[in-house]
Amino acid sequence: MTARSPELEILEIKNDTITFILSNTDISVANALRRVMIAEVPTMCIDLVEFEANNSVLCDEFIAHRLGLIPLISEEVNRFNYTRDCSCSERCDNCSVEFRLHVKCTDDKARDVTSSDLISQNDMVIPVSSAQSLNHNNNTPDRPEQEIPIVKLRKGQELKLKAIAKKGVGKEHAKWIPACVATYQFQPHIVINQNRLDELSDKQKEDWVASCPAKVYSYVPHQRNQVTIEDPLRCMYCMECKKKADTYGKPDLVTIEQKTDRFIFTVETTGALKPEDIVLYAIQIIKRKLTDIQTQLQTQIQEG
Amino acid sequence: MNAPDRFELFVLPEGSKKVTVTKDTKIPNASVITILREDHTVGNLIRMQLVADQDVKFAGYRMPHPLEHNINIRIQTYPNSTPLKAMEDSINLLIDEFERINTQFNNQVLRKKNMTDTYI
Ligand SMILES: [Zn+2]
Repeated sequence: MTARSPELEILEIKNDTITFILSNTDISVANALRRVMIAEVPTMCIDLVEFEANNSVLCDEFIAHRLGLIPLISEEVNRFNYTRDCSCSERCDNCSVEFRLHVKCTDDKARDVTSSDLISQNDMVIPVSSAQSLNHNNNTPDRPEQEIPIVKLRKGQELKLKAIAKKGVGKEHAKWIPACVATYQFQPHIVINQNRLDELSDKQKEDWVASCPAKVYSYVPHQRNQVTIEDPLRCMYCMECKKKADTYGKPDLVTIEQKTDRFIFTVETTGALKPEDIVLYAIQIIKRKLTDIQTQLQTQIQEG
Repeated sequence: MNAPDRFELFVLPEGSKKVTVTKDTKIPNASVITILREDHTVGNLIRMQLVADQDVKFAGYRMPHPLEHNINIRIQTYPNSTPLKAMEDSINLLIDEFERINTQFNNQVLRKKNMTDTYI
């Protein structure tokens, strides 16, 4: 048996998303990649919170949970150890990052406590929202709408705490998941039957194109090819266009099939990691898992 | 209070072996390979690769219990091979495959980055 030769083509890399096509491989490979991107790519997240003062309307646990869900820039995550593997007794700079937050409302107006009030001890690990407002500083000095609200304080209320961020994976708690979207879809294969299309009136063609909620087709009147497939990738297999064609008594107007050997991946990051890094780390993690099993299997065989 | 530790999902208990092979005594050329601290990600991956092997008569995997994070892979081969050989082959092929995906991904990322550089 020979190894398959999978092919990978990146369609687009943006600041927070990547789309690529993986082909010539098995669905189990695509699914392993997806599962690892979600559950096993490590990031940094707040995991321990010590409260010194909290007379806000939210209880300590509620605020601690909210702090945990704030995405932190984790591009340096590989420099950190898991606390359980670290040589320190409890925690140290190699396995954790300390944040401080101290806000007291003295105004008559309510004070929003947001992710920008978290002061990190390590410049490399800061809330994603704070990094974004730093980047945009030149043109728009203050973008409070970017910040993640934690709690509102009224006059006299105070929140003071110490938060510890640790390295972890999504398997342990969903807050460590680096991707907010990690999916694959099959490549749609859409064919319009031109003969059946010619039998339709202009009004019917227009209605048929409009029947697709994902706007896969486009209709341009007074042209030779009035109906064209604008973007097959938008198709979500709702088959609304098929149902519409049935009402015209033309069930063979269009055929929609899934090409089950081409996987179109979409990965969107929370901001913790670059989208291409999520995919790359996932590939490396699967490789490490497999080589680990390989060596363990070999020692088992040698032992008999 | 009696919740299991969260790291039990992926940390191998001390002194235990990641992979153990048990021969099936009732069927010829059959074994059960137990892998600790792995799930459907690896289980399904290996099973599909095994099934594609001409020398494999049967291959399946299961997670015996949702709270125990282990998988059993059961393999029966034709007499010209053995379950261990089939397993080794499959894993080597999968490592090759992910190696190829890795290099291709790196090349493509470099290409994309160079393209955007020229546009700027
Ligand atoms: Zn440490």
